[in-house]
Order: sequence, then structure tokens, then C-alpha cells
Amino acid sequence: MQRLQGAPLILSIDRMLFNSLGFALFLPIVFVLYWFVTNKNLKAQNLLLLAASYFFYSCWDYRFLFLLIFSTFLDFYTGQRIYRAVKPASKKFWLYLSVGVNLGLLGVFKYYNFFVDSLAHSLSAVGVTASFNTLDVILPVGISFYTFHGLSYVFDIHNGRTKPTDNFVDYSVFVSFFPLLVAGPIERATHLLPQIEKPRRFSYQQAVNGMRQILWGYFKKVAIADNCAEYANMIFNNSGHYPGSVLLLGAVLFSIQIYCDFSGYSDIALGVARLFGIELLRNFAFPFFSRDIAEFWRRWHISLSSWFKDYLYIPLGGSKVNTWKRVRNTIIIFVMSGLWHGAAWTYIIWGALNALYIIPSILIKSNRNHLDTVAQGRLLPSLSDTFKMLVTFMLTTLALAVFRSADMAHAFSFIGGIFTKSFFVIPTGEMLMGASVNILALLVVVTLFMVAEWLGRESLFAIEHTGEKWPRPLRWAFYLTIVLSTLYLTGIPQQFVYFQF
Amino acid sequence: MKKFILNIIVFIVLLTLLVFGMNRNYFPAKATGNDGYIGAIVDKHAYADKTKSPRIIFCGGSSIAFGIDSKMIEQATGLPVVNMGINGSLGLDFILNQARYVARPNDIVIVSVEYNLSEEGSYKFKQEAARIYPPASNFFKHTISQRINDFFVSDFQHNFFITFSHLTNRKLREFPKNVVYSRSSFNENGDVVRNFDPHPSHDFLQKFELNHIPNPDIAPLNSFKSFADERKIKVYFLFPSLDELAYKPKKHVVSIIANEYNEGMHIPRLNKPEDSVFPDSLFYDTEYHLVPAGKKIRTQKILDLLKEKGIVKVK
Repeated sequence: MQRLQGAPLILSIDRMLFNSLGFALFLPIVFVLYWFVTNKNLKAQNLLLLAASYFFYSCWDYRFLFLLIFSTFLDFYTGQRIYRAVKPASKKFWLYLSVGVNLGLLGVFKYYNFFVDSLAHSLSAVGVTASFNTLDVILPVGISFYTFHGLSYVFDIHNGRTKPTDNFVDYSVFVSFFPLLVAGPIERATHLLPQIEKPRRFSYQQAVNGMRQILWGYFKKVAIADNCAEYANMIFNNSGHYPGSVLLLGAVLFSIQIYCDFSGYSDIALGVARLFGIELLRNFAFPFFSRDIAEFWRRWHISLSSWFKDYLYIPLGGSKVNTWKRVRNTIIIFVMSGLWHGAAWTYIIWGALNALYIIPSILIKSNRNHLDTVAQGRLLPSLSDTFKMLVTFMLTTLALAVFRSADMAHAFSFIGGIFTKSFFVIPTGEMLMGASVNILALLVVVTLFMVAEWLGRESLFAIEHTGEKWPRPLRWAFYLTIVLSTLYLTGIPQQFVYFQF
Repeated sequence: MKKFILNIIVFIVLLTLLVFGMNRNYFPAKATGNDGYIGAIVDKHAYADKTKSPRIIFCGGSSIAFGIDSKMIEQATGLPVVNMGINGSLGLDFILNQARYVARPNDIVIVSVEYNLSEEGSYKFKQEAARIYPPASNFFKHTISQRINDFFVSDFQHNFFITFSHLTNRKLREFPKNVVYSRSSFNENGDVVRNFDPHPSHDFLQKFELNHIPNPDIAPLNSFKSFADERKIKVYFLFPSLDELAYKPKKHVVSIIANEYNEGMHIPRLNKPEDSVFPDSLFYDTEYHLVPAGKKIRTQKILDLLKEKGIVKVK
């Protein structure tokens, strides 16, 4: 795969991206301080993690650090008040205060303009002209993630699942631990906080696994996602000029891009956390090998799906209510999940579409048919499973095309454009000129990647156990090949998609 | 812990050695891209090296590459003419540092840069120029991050492909030689001389206004003037050729820029912006690229200016 002359930059220093020189320096420094300087003192270790996390966040925008600290303090304080309150009304008061302020901040920074614009449009549709002021605000990076961390903490205290911590530093590390601060996974106090409160010992195996996961995460992000992004951006941004077949290709490449981008980020985050002796929640479990939409959602952005399940779906009655209420609850959590991604109709409709996909399986009670891994213990799937996986992939790809579109008009024209006679036009190299990597070469690489994912689908990440029993030289040659392939396949760097959420 | 750190260090060292080996062109191979447009930098420097001072050296972006008939000036003045113009994407810093490298005492350097030319330019483009012509590496700044990136990513990608092709006896794709944007389009002086008619439609030019960026290039130009004065190099500024269709929407900002030059720039101006505006029919693909007929007209105007200002004797 030959690139056009002059490869782009992979390393930048301006922001603390996982693929920046800054992070390449930051991580070993924190690692060494953590294990060599503060090793025998848990308080010092946590203080170091907090300082490092705040420094990491400040490299994005130091102004929003104060918002993060405020949000952290709010949930720490209200958590204690909820726990200590004797009367249920007092407990509710502190809970509502925390939820209100957290969602209020999220609303102002993320949703205010969207709701104001939507209201103005709705009023104008019924002949009322209304003018509202919109806010010129920047979205603080990671706000959706750390707000949900904090909310899970107060919810869990309110529901009696956990006790509040008295240590503000420990709690602050839980909210702002740098690997998960800007794009998750969305952690739970019941899972992460106990790990922060207990002394951690260095484990060679855990650290090596972490490094493997980091390696695979970078490969997914840099070699696959960024290259797919070039074509996906080109096709989505000029969708009117392409036949249906190319539009479908663009949608497929976007699906692969967003999966590799986000799961790649999550792999790096999980791997980095392991270097510090901390296990984060798994966020992806090979979602493209799902046999129905319900299984897909058990495997895609797991930390968000389970958050909505625990704190919204179950309080609404979960699956213990009648079928129609389950359908209503399902629609609510999918629409909310869409809205969580951003203030745009494309996200909301994406969520609603997924709800529509999943409702038939709820009605016929088949949504828990596939709780295992496809073709477990076998090399190849059955024909029936292959067909089901393809259908599921295409349905999620069409929904993701809505997610990726600039607005709903674009989404309609894009998806409408796929289902035309031009669907049968064979894409040519000339149609897809302008990217720095050849499309055929990219498709070969993506296919090889999917094969690797398939072979590793019973592990936490594709290469978790690859080469474990090989002699060291062979194993190292394998790792070096992945690093060199990543360097060679480095595309035009794209920001992690989920940073915008 | 020690084992882990040791393994990481050994792994990084191994990786660096592998990349280093590849980047040293362990398997001798020619660089690809030499025949592309940017490859002309080699020929321009070769001509500059073999000509004797005093010379007339034109520096700028592609408006100079496309807009000067060096042979015509050589015949009229009897002085060697070197056209160093390649592309504005190299940035003003690169263009002026290249001029510092090429110019000798008694030379006449005529700087003509496009409006709002970025000082920094495109790193990717500069890097490619440096790969093909290594001394160009000194014409621009490299941050540590860029150097690491060059080593591990861009140089590695380039050299890996070359080595792989060499080992597999794969023929490298040759750059087409019959297109305007290729090294073979330049004559020995450095002018683009390929016949590139017919030209595409220019209607779009009327849509683009010019943003006003206050005094973007005055400091580097003045710094170059000081350098030239110290070395007895004469330096002049010439406004770039511009399509009249493009000039209309840009006129206001161009006049502001011209005023800023008048007030702050120490390099003497040879003309005014409007003197370099030509009819649309004389332009090729952008508002700065003259076709051969336009180039002749502009060159004649430059000769008239050189004569009028007494800079050189013109026959």
C-alpha cells in the first residue's frame, strides 16, 4: 500500500492525545513516579494519579478544570449527605440537587442551543415567530463522561449499592483518572473506587497484557480507523456525487472507522490503566460478530449501555413490566443514548432506529437468544450465523450512516441514494481518488484486521492470547510487526470521534 | 518490575534499530517522487550553482514559476536568470531561506510572493522537498515532534515501500512526464515552459475575497533585506501577477496590504499591485498562473521596470 508522497503527522504535542508526543513522555514519567517514588504509600500514589489526571486534562483546556473540580466536589458532598440523611425526603433532596446541577451543567454546555433552536423551529412551524438567544459556548471535553461517573456514584449511594468515600482525593481519582477522563469507559463507583482505595501491587502479567492491549488499540485507531476515515469523510461530504454502491461503501467504512476509533481508544485506556494496576470496565466485545441487534448492544459501548440499563431502564421497570411498557422503556433508553452523544436530531434518530430494530425481538422474546460468543470453540461460523451477522452489521451500518450525517436531510439523501439503481454501479478507483491510500489496499488491510478480530473474539481483545505459547523471538517479531504495520499504515490523523461527546 | 522495564527498553531499542536500518536505505533505492513537480528544486539549485554572479534571482511561489520568461530576461540583460519559484505551500520562511542559501554578493534578488502567503507553509510539502533535495532541510524549522514523526512514520513509510519494491523486484510507478505539474515541465532556468492550453474555466475566481491578516510577511521580508544588505545583495519586491477576475473581489484588501508594505517593508517595491493584474485569458488554472502569452507580457513589463529604475542595463 503506497501512500502519496509526504506522510502526515502522527505525533502532535499541542493536546494530550493518546497518539501525541506529549502523552509518550507523560505516561512513562507518571509510571516511574507511581511505581518507584510513591510505591509504598497509597495516599501519595493516589495524589500522584490525581495531579497527573488534572495535568492531563489541563492540556486540553485548563479553564474547564474548574468545572471538573466543581462537579467532583458536588457529587462527593451530595454523596455523603445522601448517605447520612435519615429521612427519605432529605435523601431525595440531595440526590435531586446532584442530578439537577449535573444535568444542568450538561444541559447548558451541550444541549441548550439545540433545544432553543428546536423550540424556535417548532414554534415557527405553527406560525409563531420566536427569537431566543443561543449561547456561544465550547463543549468541555469529557463532560458527558465525568458527569455520568459522578451520577453513577450518587445513584449507587442512594440505592444502597455502595457507601460514600470520606477521602476526596480517592473520589477525585475515580472521577478523573486520566485514561478514562475524556472518552470513557464510563466507570462505576462500585467497580473502580474499591480499586483506588486498596493498595495496588505491580503485576508483570497485568502490565504485559496492558501493553498488548495498548498496542492493539493504537493499531485499530491509527492503521484502520484513520484510513477508513479518509474515505468515509470523502464519501459523506460529497455524497451527492457518488452512486449508491459507493455510498454503501462509505457507510461500511464509517462503521469500521467508528468501531476501531472508539474501541481502539478504549483498548488504550484499559491498557494504560492496567499499567497502574487498575482494571477498567470493558467497553467493546467484538460487536460486529453479533447475530442480532440485542447482542450488538450487549457488545457495543458496553459501559454506556449498562449505565442506561442500571440507572434508567431498571428504575422504569426494566423487564419486569408488561410488554408494552418494556417497549416504551426500550425506546426511552435508546433515544436517551442517542441524545447523550450530542445535541442533534441525527443522534436521536440513530437511537430511535436502534430501538425500532430491537423492539421485534422484545415482542417475540428473542432478545436474549445470543448470550454466548458466536461459533464458540469453532474456527468458522455456521451459514445461519454468518447470515445473521451480515444482516445485523448492515442494519447497524445504516443506523450509523444517520449518526454520521450532517443533518437529517443529509441522512435521508444519503440512505435514499444507496437504494437507487446506482447501487449496482461497480465502484472504480477513479471514483475514489483523492485519498492518500489506495482503496483496494485498504480493503485488504481491513479484511485481515477483521480476520484477526474473528480469531481473537473469545478474548478481551483480539491479540490478548496471540503468541502466548510461542518462543519469545517469534512473539516479539509478532509485536514488532504490529508496531511497524501501524507506522507504515499511519493515515491522516483524525481526532478520536468520541472526544466530541 | 525490572523485567518489565527492561523488556520495554529492549523492545523500543529493537524497534528503533529496525526503523533506523530501513531509513538508512539498507537496500539502496532511488527516492520516488523525484519526477514530480517538487523535483524541480534539484534542477533549480543545479542551475543556480553553475551560474556566476551577478545574477538575477526570482524568488516566490508558483506565480514566479509560471510567470517569468527567464530566457527573455537573460537575452535582454546579459545576466544569468535563476527562477527559484516552485510553490507557495513551501511557505515564506522556506522561500526566503532558500534565497539566503542561493544568493551571492552582487546578485539581484527579486522577491514576488502571493498575497497572504503563509510564513510556515505545509510541512508535508517542505519535507518532500527536503527528501528530494537534502540541503532544503535547512530551509525550514523542525520541531522535536516533527523530527520523531519524520523518523518513525514518514521516512519509514517511504523507505519501507522502496525496500519492499526492491526486494520483490517490483517496478516503482513512474511519475507521468507529460503533465504540467511535473519536473520535466521546467526549463533549465526554472520556468514552467510546458504548453498548458486550453485552460479551465475561471468563473469561480470572482467568488473569493481575501481575508486581511495584518502585516503577515513584513518582518521576514525585512529580515531578508537586512541579510541581503550585509552581503551586498540587491533585493527588490514585485507584486504577484493576478487574474483580473480574482482582483475585483480582492481589490480592497490588496490595497490595504500594499499600504502596509509601503509603511513597514524595507525592500524597495518595483511596481504596484494593479500593474501586475492581467486579463483572465492570460491565466491557466489559478489566479496566479500565467499562460505563456501572459508570461511574455509580464516579463516585458519587468524588463521595462528594471530599465526604468536603472537596476540593470536592458538592451
